[in-house]
Amino acid sequence: MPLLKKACAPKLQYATALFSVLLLLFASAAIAKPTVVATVPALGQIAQAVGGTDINVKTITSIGHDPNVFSPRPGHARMLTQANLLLTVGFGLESSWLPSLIELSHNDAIIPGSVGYLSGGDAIEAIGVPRGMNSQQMSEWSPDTNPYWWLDPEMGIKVAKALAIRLSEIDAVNAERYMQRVQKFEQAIYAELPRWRDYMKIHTGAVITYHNTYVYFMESMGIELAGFIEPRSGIEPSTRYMDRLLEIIKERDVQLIWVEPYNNRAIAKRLAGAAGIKMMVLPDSVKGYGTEGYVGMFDTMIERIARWSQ
Amino acid sequence: MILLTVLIATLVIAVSLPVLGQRVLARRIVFVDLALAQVAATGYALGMALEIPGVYAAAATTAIAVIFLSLMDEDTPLPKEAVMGGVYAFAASVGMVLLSLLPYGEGQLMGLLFGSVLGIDWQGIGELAVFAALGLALALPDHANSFAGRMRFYAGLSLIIVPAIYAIGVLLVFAYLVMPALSVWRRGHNGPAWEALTLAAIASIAGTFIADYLDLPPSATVVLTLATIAVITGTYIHFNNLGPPETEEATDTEDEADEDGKTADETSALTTSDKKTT
Repeated sequence: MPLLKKACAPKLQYATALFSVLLLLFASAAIAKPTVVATVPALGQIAQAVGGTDINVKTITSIGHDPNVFSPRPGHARMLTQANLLLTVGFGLESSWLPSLIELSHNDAIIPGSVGYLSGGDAIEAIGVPRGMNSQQMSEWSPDTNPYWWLDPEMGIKVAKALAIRLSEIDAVNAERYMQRVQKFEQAIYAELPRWRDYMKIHTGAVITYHNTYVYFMESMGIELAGFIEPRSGIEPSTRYMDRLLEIIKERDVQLIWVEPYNNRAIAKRLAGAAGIKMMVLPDSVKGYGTEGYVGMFDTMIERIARWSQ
Repeated sequence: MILLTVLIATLVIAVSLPVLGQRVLARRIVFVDLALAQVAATGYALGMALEIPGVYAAAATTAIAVIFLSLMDEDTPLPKEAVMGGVYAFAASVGMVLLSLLPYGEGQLMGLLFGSVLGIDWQGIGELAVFAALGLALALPDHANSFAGRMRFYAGLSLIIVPAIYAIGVLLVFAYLVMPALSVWRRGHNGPAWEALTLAAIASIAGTFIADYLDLPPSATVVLTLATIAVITGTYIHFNNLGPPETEEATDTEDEADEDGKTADETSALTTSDKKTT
């Protein structure tokens, strides 16, 4: 009998230990905050604005990265493994690297179509042909594929609202808090929006941009677009096209060329030099937490454009 | 106006690169331009990581690469292309790791690696011409197969190639370095330099105007024009069996003799078949 007891004792101890570990695991899962992974920094800020202290937010790309050509690392797949919700820009922006990353994460909760996957395309529609375009430019314009919606603050609000609803489904306990925060986010943006628009009315005429990145921003702020330097991404424009842009600059009295932080500045600089106008780099995200960071991005953009337009 | 700077820029490289390309081809070190350009770009990224001006860091890493390549004897039993390829892969990987640590660096490094002929202005053309003249002065005179001699050659090479890639992009530089020299190459030897220069200059002028007329990207169109002219010239030289007499081959190294043997055989086979058909 004592022999039997001796043999059983370690097994019993082992079982108890295992049970307590499992119990701890379940308990921690029950109280763990949902993790939201955003693909670009500005979306991370929108998620922070809506989720606040009730969620963990992680961002895949950093400020200054071109989200079109990002090369993910194994750490990013692990980041997705722990995610409860994946917030993406959509409209094909991350299509070259995100699908394989989702697959690598083996996380069924965040595959497209599931509750844990929210893309910009689920909340908004892509922009139509922006104003100020001539027929030549319209033929090069594909309205379905412009993904840079987060540069329109009102689009940001729409997606934030969709995110709040989605978070409420995942984490019903805090549903009310998400809704309250999204209202605050909306108020913070509408408090600034008239000022931004007034500022841009005074300070800019028609503008030429490198790619179609800033079209949402320009639509929202009432800035006229005179043309793109590289109408098809990654394909060098022709000399004839550049000369046509020089004519447009003269005709429409363009004073400023905007370039994304990650694009080749040499061509834009050359065009600006030939036309005797200025070229400036405009950010598509800035440092900062939540609403402050997202609103701060527009503040920085407006302030920089106003300074360069003088 | 922009057409004119593009034309002059492509003419500057059409004059400076093909002769250099002949030296590169003769030494079988074609990968050297990609390797040096990549080392410079990685140096630039390193400079940003260490918060020192990128241009100085690029110059420093390129100098180190030049010293490293100069250590290699020209008659080394090592396959030189493999060494160049290795240097390229190593530098590219270091650059990639640095980039992943530097969120702001990406755009600048891409700009450095992929300049565009559309982006060059008169000042840029002037700088390109000065660097090309300096580089040619160092690289073209015959050098002894000593450390100092080889270093002069590689230093001249990097003085032309690195600024040229920065200014007009890797595509044009690689094409102008290799294609004209390759097209006048005959029986395992370099052809006359004036032939390479002439066809490069024709390609610059024709390619630039074709691109403007057809509304196409200038870099790619100029390279396609150059390729077309090079293939036509190369085929003509090949079928007409132009070149120095075959007896010279005996003095060549084993490798070259093997290849020469093949081309000579092919050429004679082709000429006999030509004769049969006629």
